[in-house]
Amino acid sequence: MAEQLPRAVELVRRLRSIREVAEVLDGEGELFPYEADAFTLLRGRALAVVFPLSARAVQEIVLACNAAGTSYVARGAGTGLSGGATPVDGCVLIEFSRMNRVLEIDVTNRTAVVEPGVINADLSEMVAPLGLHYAPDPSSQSACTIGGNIAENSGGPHTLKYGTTSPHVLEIEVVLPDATLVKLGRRDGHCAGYDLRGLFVGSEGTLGLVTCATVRLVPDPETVCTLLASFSSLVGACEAVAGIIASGVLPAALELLDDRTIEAVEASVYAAGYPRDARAVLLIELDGAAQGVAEERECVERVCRERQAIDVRAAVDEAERAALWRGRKGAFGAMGRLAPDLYVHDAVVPRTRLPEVVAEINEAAARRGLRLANILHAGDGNLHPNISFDRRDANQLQRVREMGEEILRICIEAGGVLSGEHGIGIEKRDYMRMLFDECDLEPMRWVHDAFDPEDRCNPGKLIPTPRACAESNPRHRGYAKVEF
Amino acid sequence: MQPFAAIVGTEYVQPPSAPTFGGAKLEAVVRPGSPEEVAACLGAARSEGIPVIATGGGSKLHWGNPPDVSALALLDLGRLNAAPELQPEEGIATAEAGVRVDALARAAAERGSCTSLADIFPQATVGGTIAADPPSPTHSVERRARNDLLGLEVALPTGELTRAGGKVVKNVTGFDLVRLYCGSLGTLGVITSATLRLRSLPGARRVLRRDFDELGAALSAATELMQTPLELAGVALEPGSEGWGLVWLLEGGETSVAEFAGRFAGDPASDEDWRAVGREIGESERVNGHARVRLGARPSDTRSLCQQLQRLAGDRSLRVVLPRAGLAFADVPAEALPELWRETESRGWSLFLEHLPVGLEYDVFGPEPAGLPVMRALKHRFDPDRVLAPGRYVGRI
Amino acid sequence: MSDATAGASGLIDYEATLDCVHCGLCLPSCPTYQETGRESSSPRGRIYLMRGVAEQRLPLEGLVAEEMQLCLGCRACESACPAGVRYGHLLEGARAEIDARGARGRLRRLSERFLLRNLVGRRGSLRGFVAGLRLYQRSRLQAFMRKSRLLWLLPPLARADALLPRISSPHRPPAVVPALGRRRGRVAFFSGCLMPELFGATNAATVEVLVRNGFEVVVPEKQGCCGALQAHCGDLRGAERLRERNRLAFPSEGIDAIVVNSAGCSASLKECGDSLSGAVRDIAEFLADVGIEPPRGRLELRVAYDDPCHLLHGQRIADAPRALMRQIPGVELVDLPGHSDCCGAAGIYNLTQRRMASRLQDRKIEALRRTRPDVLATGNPGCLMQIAAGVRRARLPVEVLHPIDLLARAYAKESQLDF
Repeated sequence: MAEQLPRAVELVRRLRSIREVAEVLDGEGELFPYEADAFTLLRGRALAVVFPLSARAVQEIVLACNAAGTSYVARGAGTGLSGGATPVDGCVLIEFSRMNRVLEIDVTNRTAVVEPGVINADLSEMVAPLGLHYAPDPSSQSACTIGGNIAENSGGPHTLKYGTTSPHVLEIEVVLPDATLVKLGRRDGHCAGYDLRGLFVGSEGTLGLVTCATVRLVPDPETVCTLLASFSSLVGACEAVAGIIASGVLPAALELLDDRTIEAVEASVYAAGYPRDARAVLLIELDGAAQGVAEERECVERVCRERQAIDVRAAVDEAERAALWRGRKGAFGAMGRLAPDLYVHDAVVPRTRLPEVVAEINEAAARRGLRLANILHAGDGNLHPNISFDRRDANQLQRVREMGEEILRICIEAGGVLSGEHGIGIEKRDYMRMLFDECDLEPMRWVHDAFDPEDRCNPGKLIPTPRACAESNPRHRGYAKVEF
Repeated sequence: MQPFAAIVGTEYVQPPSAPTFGGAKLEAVVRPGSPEEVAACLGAARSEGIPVIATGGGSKLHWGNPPDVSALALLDLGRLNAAPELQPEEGIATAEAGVRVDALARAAAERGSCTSLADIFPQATVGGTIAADPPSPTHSVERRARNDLLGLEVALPTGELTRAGGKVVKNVTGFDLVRLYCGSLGTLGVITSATLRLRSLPGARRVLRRDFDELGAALSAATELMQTPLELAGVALEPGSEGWGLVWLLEGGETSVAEFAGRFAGDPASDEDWRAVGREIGESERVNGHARVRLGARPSDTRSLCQQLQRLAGDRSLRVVLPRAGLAFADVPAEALPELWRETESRGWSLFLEHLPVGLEYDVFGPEPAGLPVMRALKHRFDPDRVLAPGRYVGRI
Repeated sequence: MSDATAGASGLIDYEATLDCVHCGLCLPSCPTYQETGRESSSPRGRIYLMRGVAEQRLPLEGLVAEEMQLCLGCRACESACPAGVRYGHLLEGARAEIDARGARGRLRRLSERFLLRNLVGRRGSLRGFVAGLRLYQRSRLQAFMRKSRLLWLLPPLARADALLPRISSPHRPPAVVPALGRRRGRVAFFSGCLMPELFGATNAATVEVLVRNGFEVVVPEKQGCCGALQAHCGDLRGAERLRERNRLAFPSEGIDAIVVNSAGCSASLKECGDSLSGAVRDIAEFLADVGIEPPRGRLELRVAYDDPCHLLHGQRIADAPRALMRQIPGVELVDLPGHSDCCGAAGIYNLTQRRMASRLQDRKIEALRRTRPDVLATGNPGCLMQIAAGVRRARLPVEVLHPIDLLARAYAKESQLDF
């Protein structure tokens, strides 16, 4: 970094001259912690980190990058788990943390206009006095930004009833790779033409940069009932999930945590009172009108008991309910205490296949002598097997890598997909072919090409390089695979 | 039509029922029998330079601008109608494009389930309904069929079949192409089958209504209704023989529905009252010299939408209003269209012209949307030779 | 640079840095990240920097050293961290490493260390110094200095002067204060170094409330500074010497608890894991546990409580002080926005990182301006000084007190009732 190329120096100078840029970081130490987001197995080094304050500034940053032929990567809070915000070597990292104003709350139409750096939970907290909330609730919601959620089409426990991010985003203002500023979608939801908004949400920052978004706010449910059901077997818990779905009840959330997860959570600051002797617990949330919820609760309790639940109890008050959820949402981080490293996986299978898939994954892990903890958005069939390991042990690392592939293979064979909510990023880019063939990938390339023909916007993410031209394509840019 | 016949067999290349379509000569109706044949037909269309318009039941075939080519063929997906595969326990249903929406709804209901596809257009098919993404009486800002669309198989002009999405209820594996195809009116590819979210049929359903002398009062009541804490499945306003009716639908568990019904008083009404709303949207008759207009805005602008339509087109022009979606459907005389267009533009509303009197040269999709350059770029990448419904889409793409 | 690559000496606890899984949940809790938005000013970023130094991928000098000093050590991140990363411990190690490698200005480091060891750490010299300050305030010299703007000639002095609270008389209790009424137990009182000198009234209030509730209070004569400030600044050896003194001073038997009224001290004493640790209780924690006799004196006050970081994050005590104050008739507890965020005091941070400290102080003042309480209560001398200084500057009609002061006042009012 000490000897920058003249062009890079010139680019940094130009970035610094942009009026509504708060700061440009280019020191070695300053850049160092940006080399990875929450997916730490691969890393890259940015040329500079720039903090825009306005859409105008973002446009000028893109213009400057285009003039210099430099690629750029957007970053929110860096909580992504597939490396979506990992810098490609030598890129400009555009950090949206300071574009964090809530510009408008419209109570009548139940919408909010926010800048991309607004923290997910902050928005909900802000509109709470109005009896509203922002529904998508990824586990990292206390830190992650709405811009990042839009890029990843983030899910969360309440996706089961309320959907992922996409249906909650009505309009986005974006800076396209040609530096034009354009609105996609409409605040009223009646946009003519292709659903570019829908295409953009979940594009992992490869199609442009969101500078403003109109999102839906959802009325708080009148009654919420959070149940904790404990089971003496993982399979029993999975069967209860199927039973609940079959009963016709649509819970707001239906989460499964296995014993290892319980152990980690209960040892953390987010200890929630999950029973330590259970092999698995279900966290079931029902919401709606009081009478209806009471009936659903009866039904769910009956189903759980029929599936040999050891215990089913409801949170007695808001504090207990909050604690149960904090435990769930802190679960991933809590696993940090199990071993020096953690690999959080994310895949989806048809939900009735969960018992066998989880059993098969656990067996495969045991065969490799790996320690695995499971968290499932069970109602959606979305699994998060988490492998604790120590990357300094090369042999173990190799087994972890194999295990990752094995998990995906098992899920795909069961009719599943590669990711339910964490995205593809760089983590799974090269696994895309396990699911899709070239005919399926080609339209994705067309889309990318229509938005970003020069391939400067978060290059190398999400879409694997065409087989034939892997060598010559500029997309075949590497990240420092220090660990793998 | 030889290349098509070679693919689907001569008996499935049939003469059209009308000689022209939107000013273009209709060469034939091609009826492929499998997704592979659809893809092969598109490949042939491209290599032979014969543009095609895909169609299902034909209920919305009139939606869109006239094609800007002199001759074309219709690609009828009606033969792709194998029995749908329903998996209520997984919450998914997979159906071929030519399966009729009402047949799918019946099959699902037998399994205690439903999809969110609008079942208000006679003869409409799964593929056509996804491609057109029409509004329905239960339509609202948050309830859109596209949110329940999980996976698609699509034939491309390259002659290949491609998959988007998957057969699971949650999926972020790659770009969300499903949403791109949905509502694209067959201009990027032709949908051959779809996987949809299947939900449990609500345990109870109740239609309620209130009648008002005039629209203003009905709109005020609608606003009040929408602010009442209820789980509303749909709200509509429709003109009666005199005055206006506010009709709403409650769905859910029996207890919840009973509780909600008590919160906002209304007269008991029948399912037929609700179906009438759907018919007004799905089976609109062409009124001579009038355009059927769908005007959209934010829900809070519904009143001014209605006022403008009444001012421009007369009191009886409004056919149905969906206040929760901010949508109004009206028959507007041709001479009022220029001003309606201007109002739409200046107020930032959206406009779609379902029927247009012959001879009028409007883009039926209304004022140009932001993002049109990107839409053009997409169209160019997907369909570089303009084989799929050329000229019919937004901005005459 | 050369010795930076010479290998990680043992002071950065590398293994402990690996507990961080980079999830980022700590970011919003970090005051310096909130202010700068820089990853390197966040807990996750700082841990990553420490790791980088330990892995010899990054020099310690320059940015890393600066960021470690910019950290308040408020440990709000620990309350947010699901992985249970011991951030405070990591920070002390990193700061010690910085000092060990001489990666910080030598003069600054030595003067800081000299002052902390010899002024704060030694009772006699501190007493003399504060007595001088008290004289300075009372002789109207302070008023003159402030008015004449002579202070402006010496900015560091002006800063220290602005922080100075109104110094009450020193608190010199007898070695044993008997319980009033029915005797419920016996506690030792950790009087602290600055507290008896700068906040004598609060120390007196603490003893009063304890005896009023039936506790005999012993105040060991030979006790002294807890060593927290020294440890936070990387002077682990200096801190250890002070701790040793306290181990000798306090009785190990015959007491129910060692009660501390300064959150910074109670946190530090609890954590050093020595023979005293198990017995240490913060005053609010102790009183809430054993239960107090609700005061009958009324205080018609709107009170906002601000959580001291070392009570909330260091000891996870949030409810106890609030519960105590709620027992005072007439007191209305109001919610202070940002009550769990650091006020910028952070030991001697407000003297060493004054720009960041004053940004955080401004936030606190802004919250007070919106909330408009009569009293701001907080249980730590650094916070009391920092917030009071901000209140004085902003000329807000808010009294800044320790919760124990309020309790003592309410008890004092009882005697008036009895007449």
